[in-house]
Amino acid sequence: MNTEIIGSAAFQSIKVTLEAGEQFVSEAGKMVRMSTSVTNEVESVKKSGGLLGGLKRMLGGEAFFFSRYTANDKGEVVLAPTLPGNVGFRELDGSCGWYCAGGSYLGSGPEIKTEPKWQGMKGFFTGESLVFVHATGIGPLILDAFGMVEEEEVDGSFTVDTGHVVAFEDRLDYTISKAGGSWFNSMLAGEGFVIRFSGKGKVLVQSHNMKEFGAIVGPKLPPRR
Amino acid sequence: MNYEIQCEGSFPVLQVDLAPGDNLVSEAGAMAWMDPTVKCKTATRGGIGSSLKRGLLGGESFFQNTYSSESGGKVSLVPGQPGDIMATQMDGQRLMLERGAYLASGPDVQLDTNFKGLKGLFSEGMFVLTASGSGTMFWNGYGDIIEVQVEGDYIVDNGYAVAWDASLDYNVQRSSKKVRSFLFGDQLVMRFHGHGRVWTQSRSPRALSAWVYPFRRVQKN
Amino acid sequence: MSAMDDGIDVKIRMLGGFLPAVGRRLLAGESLLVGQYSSRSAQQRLSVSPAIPGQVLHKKMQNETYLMQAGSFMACTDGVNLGTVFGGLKAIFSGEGMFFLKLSGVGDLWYNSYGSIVERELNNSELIVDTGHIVAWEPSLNWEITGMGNLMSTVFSGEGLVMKFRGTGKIWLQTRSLGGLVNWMRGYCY
Repeated sequence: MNTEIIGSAAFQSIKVTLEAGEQFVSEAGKMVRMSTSVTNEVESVKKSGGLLGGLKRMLGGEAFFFSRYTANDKGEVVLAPTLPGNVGFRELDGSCGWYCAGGSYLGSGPEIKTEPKWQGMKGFFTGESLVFVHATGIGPLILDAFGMVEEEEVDGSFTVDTGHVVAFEDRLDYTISKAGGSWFNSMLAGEGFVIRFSGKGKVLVQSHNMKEFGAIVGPKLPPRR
Repeated sequence: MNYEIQCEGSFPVLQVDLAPGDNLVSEAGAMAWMDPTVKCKTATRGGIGSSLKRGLLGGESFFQNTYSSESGGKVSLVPGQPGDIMATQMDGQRLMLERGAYLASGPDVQLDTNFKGLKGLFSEGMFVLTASGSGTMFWNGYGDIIEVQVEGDYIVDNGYAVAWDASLDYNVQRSSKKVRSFLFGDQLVMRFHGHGRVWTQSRSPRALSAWVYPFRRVQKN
Repeated sequence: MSAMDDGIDVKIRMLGGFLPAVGRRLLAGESLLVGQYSSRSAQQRLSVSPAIPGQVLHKKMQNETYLMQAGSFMACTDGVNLGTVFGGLKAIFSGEGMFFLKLSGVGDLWYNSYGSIVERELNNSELIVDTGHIVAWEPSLNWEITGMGNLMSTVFSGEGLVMKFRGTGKIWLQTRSLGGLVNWMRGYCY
């Protein structure tokens, strides 16, 4: 299995080349094009606790539908993120897993286990809950981002607005809270929720804030049913 | 018509240098800036019937603007979405465009709308503009635009095909029977067959619409 | 704010003094509230990022003055003065908000554009610009908000109101607008 990031910086996509018999998983609905020698099947992951997988997308989190691609013969699949930006890529070696935040999970190799992890409704003003996809194992992990991706090496503590987090290593401790110390202050400053990381580990941040983008554009669109 | 696509990259702008006698037709709202010597006339194109059909179904607006200049002047046009702008010289061939891809054209380019796809619970499908006639046609996409030469069969996810030669046969079909298309809006794929070019865009407007869905206000009854 | 180290405090300030509640409601979505960040110790980093796709730009202010679309402003250091300029009644209907920002002083200024930034220099000439595509301009230019020509064009051209610049000076334009993006997205909303 080979991966190649293609496209201009603002609109990257990823091309996955598969040998006969190889398999690969992505979030459902991210496929741009594929060779006719590749088939894909959509599977759903039901969360224990009785919540319907598909409805989670309505809550602004991750869709719990995965597409599994199988190459009957050598072929390629091209996947793309939703918003303009980079595609992030990490080769996991098994030493630690990654949490993919806010819909950034795009795809992964067949040896990687992905599990949705709910952060619960910890004080979410917008009624949106934070869902992380926990990726563990060995192999390629593909992420999408809004804007450019940068890696931060945390050694101590680091605070990031939730709209800017792409993914982070699971060996970091983190808490989710409000930026300004008081609800009123935070909301007025346009500050939403922040994640405070502590410990040692890597965080991938994206240059643009997708929660804010949604909050700016969403209300200007026609209301939904 | 003299033109230049500037700021090539992610957010290009189309600058047309109008000579006296030139007419440029464009969708409403595309003008970014222009010289004061350029005049803009707004009209419904081709009568109310076709405008309404285009407006309601095609994703293009009812009204079209015609830019002209008695003494010459420049007008700069942009699409709403980030992504490439393309210019195609029409010369009798027909080009099919995804709705929302049309930007502007010379006065002798004709546009027609129709719907192709699976009519069902959520009316998933493809609103397509057919462009014909002669002159320059300017169109755009969401993301990078890549030209693909099709010889035989080619599958493109519904949201990513932005334009293709009318000489190609195509079919809109479900890629998987298991999942309701409402949730993704793009479990439809386009299967192209024959010889011709397909232009794909590297982002899908339908995926974006599904992404922004939870941020929209809920309709109150 | 997108990311910051621990030693930074946030305080909220309202630009231009206190506005009555009625006035604030007319602001068409523009927030005149800004966050003021100060750091308690040295070497604290603060990252500020935009929400809409485009560029982030930096200007070293050296006592010049600029007028700027409120939505383009991102951040500035202490020596930069931030004021507001009323856009006139027509500005309320421009869709971009009632106020422009007036920036002067000495310091660093960061602003963003939706799309790419294009710089145009007017030399005793005129330029008509869609209000959504303005980022900033030099105060030496005369400006007015006006319609597109006749009433039909103004209402139906999709342009609505435009800004007419006249004189000598620089204008900074952006190649995409929030209004344009929303209009485009509207076509895909079920």
